[in-house]
Amino acid sequence: MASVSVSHMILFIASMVVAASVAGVFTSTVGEISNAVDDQGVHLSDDVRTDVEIISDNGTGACVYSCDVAGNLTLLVKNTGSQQLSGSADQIDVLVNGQYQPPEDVSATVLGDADTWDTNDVVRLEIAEPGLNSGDHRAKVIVNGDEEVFEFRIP
Amino acid sequence: MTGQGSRSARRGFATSGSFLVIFIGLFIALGTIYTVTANTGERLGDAREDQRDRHQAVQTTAVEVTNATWNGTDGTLTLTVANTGDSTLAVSAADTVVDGRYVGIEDYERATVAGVDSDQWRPGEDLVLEDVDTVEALSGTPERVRFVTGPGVADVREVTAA
Repeated sequence: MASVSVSHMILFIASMVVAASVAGVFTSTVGEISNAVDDQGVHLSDDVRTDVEIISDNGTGACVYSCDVAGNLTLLVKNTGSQQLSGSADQIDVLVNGQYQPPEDVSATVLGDADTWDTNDVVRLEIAEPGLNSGDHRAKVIVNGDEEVFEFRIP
Repeated sequence: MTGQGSRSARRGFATSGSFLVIFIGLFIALGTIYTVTANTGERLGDAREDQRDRHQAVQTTAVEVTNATWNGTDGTLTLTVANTGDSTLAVSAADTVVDGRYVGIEDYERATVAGVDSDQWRPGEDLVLEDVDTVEALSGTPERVRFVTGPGVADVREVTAA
């Protein structure tokens, strides 16, 4: 009789252990998925809130290329979104005529009194791209997935 | 009979105990999923609403630079910009680009809306900007000015000599 009780006890403990492991694995997996969803939500809302505009003037008489430093392309980018952005060159992707410009060739300066690139602040990008021929060119700036294209002509 | 009854009761207790443990686990997991989904949904909803507001602001914003005059003798640039849209704009959020070079609104010595020193620039009102030294130091005689509002809507005008 006692052996029957012991075997029942063993089965009971085993069933509890199995149930606890199933519940544990389930909750930890769901926890990890929740963290990932939370991270993605933050990224996605940052992307939606991000909006930039290239405000440089591409008309005749306005200077875009070789203005202050020879061989430098100057772009003025305004933060028109509602998200504070990073004004450092390694957070801003720049392509000139389809060629990616590495961060060491791009210098970014937040203009005005601000230290951070808040809403309505303007960043001046100086892109070292010597040897651009006269003719039509195209620059693209990508910040947090928001892409802006600027077309200009060098006389 | 009594022995059999207690045995089946113990077996039943093991089964319901296991179910209880799994149920608690499921309950905790569902609680986490619900919290995260609700938070993410709310955050995204806020961001989308913000985006819609910005798009609406762009649609209802319109400006026109009605006058851009350069006085060569004392080096003053005077701009008159009319708010031709339907929305009230912030003067402090605007920027100008003179001959491709950035001139912030704070660089202008005088900025008046309808004759008053104000940041609120309502539809139909004229904004007058006057710069004494910044433009002269930048490029000498300016040729063209691009005025950019906070939402990014812009207008360009050639500068005329006074």
